[in-house]
Parts: sequence; C-alpha cells; structure tokens
Amino acid sequence: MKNSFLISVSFLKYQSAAYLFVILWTVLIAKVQSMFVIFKYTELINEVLFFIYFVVVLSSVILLIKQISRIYFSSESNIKRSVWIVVNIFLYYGVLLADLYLASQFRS
Amino acid sequence: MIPLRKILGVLLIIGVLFPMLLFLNPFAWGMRRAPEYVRSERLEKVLEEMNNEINKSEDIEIETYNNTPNLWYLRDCQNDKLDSLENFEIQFSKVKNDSFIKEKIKKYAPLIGEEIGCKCYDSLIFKFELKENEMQQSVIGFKIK
Repeated sequence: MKNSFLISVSFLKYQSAAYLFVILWTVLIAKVQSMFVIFKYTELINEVLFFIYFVVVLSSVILLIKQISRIYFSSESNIKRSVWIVVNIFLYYGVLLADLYLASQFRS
Repeated sequence: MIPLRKILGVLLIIGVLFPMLLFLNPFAWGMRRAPEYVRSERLEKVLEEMNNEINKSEDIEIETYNNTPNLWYLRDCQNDKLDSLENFEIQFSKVKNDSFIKEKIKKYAPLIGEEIGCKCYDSLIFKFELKENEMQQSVIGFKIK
C-alpha cells in the first residue's frame, strides 16, 4: 500500500504542485520585492525559507530516486507515471535554482 | 540485454544526483557572488556623458566599484535601519590636467547627485591621482544632505 502510494499519479501530481508553489513563491520574492520589504524581518523570513527549501530538495532526492526505481525498474509499465516523474525531475531543478537564489537573499 | 527502460531509469537517477555535486559543494557556496553596487541606468548615462566629455582631451576611466552601498545597504536605507550614511565615491584613473578635471567635476556633480538619489548618501566624493605625482591623491567632496 505504502509502496504504491509514492508512485500513484495523484501523489505525483501533488508533488508537482508543491514544487510549482516553491518556484512561484521564489519568483515572487525575486520580481515583486516591494511586496516583501514592508515586512520588518524580510531577510529572516528568506533565511528560514532557504532552510525549508533545502530540506525539500534533500528529501526530494531520496523521494525521486525511490520513485524512479519503482517506476522504471519494475516489470509493470505505466506511461502516465513515467511522464509525470520526468516532469517532477524538471520541477525539482527549478526548486534547486530557487534555493540557490534564496541563498543570496539573506546576510550570512 | 538490458531493457531500454532500465537505462532510462539509470539516466534519470544520475540526472537527480548530478546537481547535488554543485548543491552540496561547499566550494560552490563559497563562490556565490557578494552583493555589489550596481549603477542605475540614468547614472550610467550621466557618467558616460562625463567620460566622453573628458576623453576629448585626455584618456581616463570612471569607476564606482569601490562603493559600500550594496544591496543590503540600500535595503536598510529603504527600511530606515541605517545608523550612519555612507559617501558615494567616484574614482578616476590617473589624470594629467588637474584644473580641467576639477572644472568637469563641478559641472557634473549636481547632475550625478540628482541621479544617485540623495536619501541614502551623505556626500558625493570624487577621487583622482595626478600622473606626475602618483603619491598625492586629490579628493573633492560635495555634501548631498
């Protein structure tokens, strides 16, 4: 049950949505900075976000590898899942870049 | 024979792990670009105009790279968190004619003052060295506030 949940199409969709949220939030921070400077602790929030994204990226690596091995190394073939996992890998690159960008948005 | 699906799977795993070489590499983090002062487009235009005018009689370069006002400084200024204001520094490469440069500085100082936005700077400072006397550095300052 647990094994199939990680590679179910609905979970893969939620995963994509989570990645998209991270990417869009970072684009907002980058492009609409005036929206964020009204907060007194912008840099602190950026630092906290950076660490959250960092954990997201590291857990994604484990999750994606588990998913790939279950989808691509099993006898059962499912085109829909195979395509979703590739989409998720591209979004994972976006999250990586978002985290690298946030690293420059707080004072260390 | 290894099926194509398995090869694809291995390639995807490499694709996931490969960026970690950069992401978890302390050297890559150390190399991240420090926030630096970036001229605004309008200031760039005024400085270029000044440079062109001076270059008619002597060959110099105008630099603004050694200014402290970086991203953080300007953000602090916006949020009124600054304890003291910095000066805005403009550096010329070695010049021959002292009086000619001073004349141009006097002409362009108010224009530059307008472009850099007076809120975040205390004074506008021009620095240059004479070609004949490299030990002596001339400094001309204009109070902005």
